[in-house]
Amino acid sequence: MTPIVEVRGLKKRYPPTGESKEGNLAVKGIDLTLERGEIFSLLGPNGAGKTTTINMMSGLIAPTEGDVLIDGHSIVKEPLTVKRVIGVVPQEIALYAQISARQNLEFFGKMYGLGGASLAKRVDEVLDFIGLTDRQRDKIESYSGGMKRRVNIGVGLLHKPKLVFMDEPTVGVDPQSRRNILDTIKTLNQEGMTVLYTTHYMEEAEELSDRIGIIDHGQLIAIGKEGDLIQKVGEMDTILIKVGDQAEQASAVVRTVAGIESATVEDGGLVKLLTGRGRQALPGVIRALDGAGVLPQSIEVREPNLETVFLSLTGRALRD
Amino acid sequence: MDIKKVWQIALRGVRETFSNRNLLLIMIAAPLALTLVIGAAFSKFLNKTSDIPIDSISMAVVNHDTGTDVVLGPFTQHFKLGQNVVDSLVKPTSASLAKLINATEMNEADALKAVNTGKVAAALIIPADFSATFDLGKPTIGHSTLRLVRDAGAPLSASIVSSITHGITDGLTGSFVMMFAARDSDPALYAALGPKLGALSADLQKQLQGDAPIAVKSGSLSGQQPVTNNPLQYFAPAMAIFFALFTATNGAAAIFEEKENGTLQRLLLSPTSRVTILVGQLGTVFGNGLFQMVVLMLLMPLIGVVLGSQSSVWGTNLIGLALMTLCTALAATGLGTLIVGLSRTKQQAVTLASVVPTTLGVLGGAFFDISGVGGPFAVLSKLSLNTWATSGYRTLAMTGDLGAVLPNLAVLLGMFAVFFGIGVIGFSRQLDV
Repeated sequence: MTPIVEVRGLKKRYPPTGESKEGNLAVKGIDLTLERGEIFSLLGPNGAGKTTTINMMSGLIAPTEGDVLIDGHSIVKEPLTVKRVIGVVPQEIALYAQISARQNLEFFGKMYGLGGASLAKRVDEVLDFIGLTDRQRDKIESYSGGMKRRVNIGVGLLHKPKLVFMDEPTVGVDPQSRRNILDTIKTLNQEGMTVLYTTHYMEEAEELSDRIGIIDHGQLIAIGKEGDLIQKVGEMDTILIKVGDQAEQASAVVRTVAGIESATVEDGGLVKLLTGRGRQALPGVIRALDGAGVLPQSIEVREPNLETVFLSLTGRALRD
Repeated sequence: MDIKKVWQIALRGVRETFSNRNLLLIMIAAPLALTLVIGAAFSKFLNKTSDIPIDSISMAVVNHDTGTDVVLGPFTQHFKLGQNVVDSLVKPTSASLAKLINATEMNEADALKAVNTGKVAAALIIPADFSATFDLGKPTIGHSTLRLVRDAGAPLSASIVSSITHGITDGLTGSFVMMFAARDSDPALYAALGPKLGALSADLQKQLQGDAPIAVKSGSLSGQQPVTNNPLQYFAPAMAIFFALFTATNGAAAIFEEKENGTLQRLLLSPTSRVTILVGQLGTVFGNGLFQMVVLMLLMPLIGVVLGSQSSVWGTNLIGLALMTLCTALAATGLGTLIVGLSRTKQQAVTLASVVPTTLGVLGGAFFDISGVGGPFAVLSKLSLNTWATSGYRTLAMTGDLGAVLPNLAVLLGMFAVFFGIGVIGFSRQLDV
């Protein structure tokens, strides 16, 4: 089966400004393939180029170089055809506040070529899906932030797109609405929709994604499944044991435990162990400490995650 | 371009506009209230009289006529019929004509300049062979053409001058037709006229001012309706146009808001061409202006009822009104397009959307009747679409003459073409997000 998205050498240079005479090269050449039915997360800090990339992929802005094939059609050459295939949920609430949710859905539905009874039926379905059937005739301006977010998503789903782009849809929402949005995305994916999700929240990428692309400074610096990415950067698990005055003794004892690669004493009576598999090594570590009469005040196992991967690849934290 | 989507985009905008109560207050209630106040100030509430008569229409008269000798048997009389016409306009003996017309004799260059600068509503140019046309020594009445150069910016005044001129020439022609007829059919009567030739010129002068078909003595335009000015016929369109311009310019500037809200981006993300979106957005501007004008046209007559005005606010030429409203809404849309096209930021657009309609309103006589104002202001006022639209509506209301407002319609369409042509490039640039 052909991929639903093929991104080839995608670049975007914005026009020159006072600050940048050559113009900012926001995306520096991205190649990417999305398989049908997957959830792919584009993970990167603010300003990494996620939104610019998604804007080019959705035809909102023209690429400076490169092309995007969606369902076999070029966004550069056949933008209107591509736009029938994709749905976009923008980062900001993009709705007409003075009219109702139903009127917003009807209006945008018409822009996607829907009409008559089929539009009314689809609007009913979407309202049901986003849980706003009861409030459908209220003006958007009277909605809570979470409700607006749901309508914002609903508009992107009206025409039953094969592929939906979601650009940081959980930014600035309360935990309950965030949970609701993540569950919605999972449901859509279970129904067969391919999802391209951009976020700077590592936890969301971890929870949702089949594959993750890490983007920084306009470049895709790593792509793969979460485990593969972690393995790729070769990060080890860390066991942190707080033992107070017995740190030196504890360090010497646990160094001999099978699977422990290194043991160092840190400030504050802390012993830091590096191991390939922290959870497996933990029972042996505890037994060794017990045998030496060392009483740990606390033990913490830290496994590498996407934050660690990002740190390893860029030297910066994801939220910097 | 997808016409169905253009319609949907335009309709959504118009619906949103008309669901906003505050906006409606500004669009409909404010012009109605202001028209009521200004209309009352100029009507019987304050003046203890009904509609106000039109007076002191400035006009120029240029006389190139060299005169002609009329020989009747042994009698010869030198006629200067051109001078008769000049005198009847410049020094009218009829009080009503004297009140209606303020004519000045001048040379042709000055007269044309006066028309161009708006100092006079029209210039009547009498040709050199004017008197010779009526030479009784010739077999028949000749042919001569008087030129009336009209100020297109003052169609009503020019129309009145035109009517008076026609009346004078008709009267003159009628008198001489009678004399030619007498000459050919009753030689005895004709011969008897000989001794009275000297008095004929003076008689003609009297006739021109007394019994001419224009019926100057009764102070009427066509001999049927008194020449009066219902202030609402000026201020109702003036206010409607003034506020329609605000609606149009602010409506166009709303594209910045759509951009800010992300709804414009959302439209661009749908399978809808940029041209469709552009025309749809401008359709909203046009629709808002048109809808506002129509609603005001329907409601303004109520003010006429309140003020006790007897004449119709808008007149009865429905085709003329429809064309005038269409052209005004188009010109306003063009102006809105221009403002957005010239603006780089929302703030710039909002500022221009306030300043430009206000300036055009002042120049175009939104708050005072500028039809009698001359000099540089009259020239500047011609740059305002308010001037052309207001005078067009007023002329339609007073004369019902579609032909008289064709220049107004043409100028409004021209303004639309120029504004839209310049503005649309910049406006379409706003779709780049």
